[in-house]
Amino acid sequence: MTFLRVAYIAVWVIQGSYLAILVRRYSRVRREMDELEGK
Amino acid sequence: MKGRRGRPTQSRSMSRTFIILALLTALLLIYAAYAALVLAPTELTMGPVQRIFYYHAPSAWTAFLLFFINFIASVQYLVRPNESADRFAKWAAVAIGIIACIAAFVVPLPAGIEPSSVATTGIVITAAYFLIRRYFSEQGTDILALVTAEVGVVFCTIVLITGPLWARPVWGIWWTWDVRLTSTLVLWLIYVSYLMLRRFSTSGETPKLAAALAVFGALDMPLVYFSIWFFRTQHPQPVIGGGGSIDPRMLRVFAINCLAFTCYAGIICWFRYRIERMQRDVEETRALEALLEPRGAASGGAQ
Repeated sequence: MTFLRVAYIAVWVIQGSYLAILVRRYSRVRREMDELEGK
Repeated sequence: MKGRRGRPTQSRSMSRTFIILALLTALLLIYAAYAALVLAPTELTMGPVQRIFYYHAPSAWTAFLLFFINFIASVQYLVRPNESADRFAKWAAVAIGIIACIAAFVVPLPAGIEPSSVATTGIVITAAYFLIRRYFSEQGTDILALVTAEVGVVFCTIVLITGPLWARPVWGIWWTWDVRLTSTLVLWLIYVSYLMLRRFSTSGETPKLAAALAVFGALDMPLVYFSIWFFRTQHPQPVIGGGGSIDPRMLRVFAINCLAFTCYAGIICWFRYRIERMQRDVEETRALEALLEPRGAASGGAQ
């Protein structure tokens, strides 16, 4: 049961971390676009 | 920025379709997890730990699908600038479909490989080639290759983590250097090196080098897939489409998880594709501004 729990948690930690990286990258690019539009 | 090719407005705002599909995918993933942990019957020999299968195998399927798209996109990125190479690749894609359909029913196949699977694979290769060609520009195929490799590596990482977590209580070992496991690790390393090449190389030829690496890297995929048929491996034979059998309820839960993971990968790829396009737009605009700036500064200085 421990292995099962660890496996399922690991999957969602990896997916969640990647998703968080993407969201951060998206907000950075949006900010850069806003800066360029403001010029 | 705003008026350039009319694209930024479209790419900046998260479209309603994307949000609806993302919500539906989230619901599907929740249901798939519930089905894997609660609805699926407990396997008699392995017990509850067998439920790792519902995440391990769909992740492997999704990683393969993404690396396959990466391969097609890389081939197209390499052949498109050359008209004769492009024409040759088009006919090769058609030939693969036709040969696979004929060979599936004429050539004797190893036990466990269904002729219909071979024919379907051939048709899918041809269809994917023409779909990507139809809907993606040359620049688009480069972005698609990058995105699918990145998301594919995430899913392949999950395969390599959930595999040993399943192996330890069942086989008594975390890892063994058999062909299936080793070739999967090599596949992961190839695509990690692909991403590192794209990230750290400053050469203008990086997309071409990366595409060439991806084409060679894809050669490992058939080895990973067919290794369990052609070599004696610790990894079990497939229970779906092979010689084994599976409880229909387990099969249904597996199919739900495959669908959920594929939809999730699709959504993530869409999001990542959009980010990459925006990033390239920003870089392009900055480069243009840098070109125009000295002239503006010079005229300002003359006044």
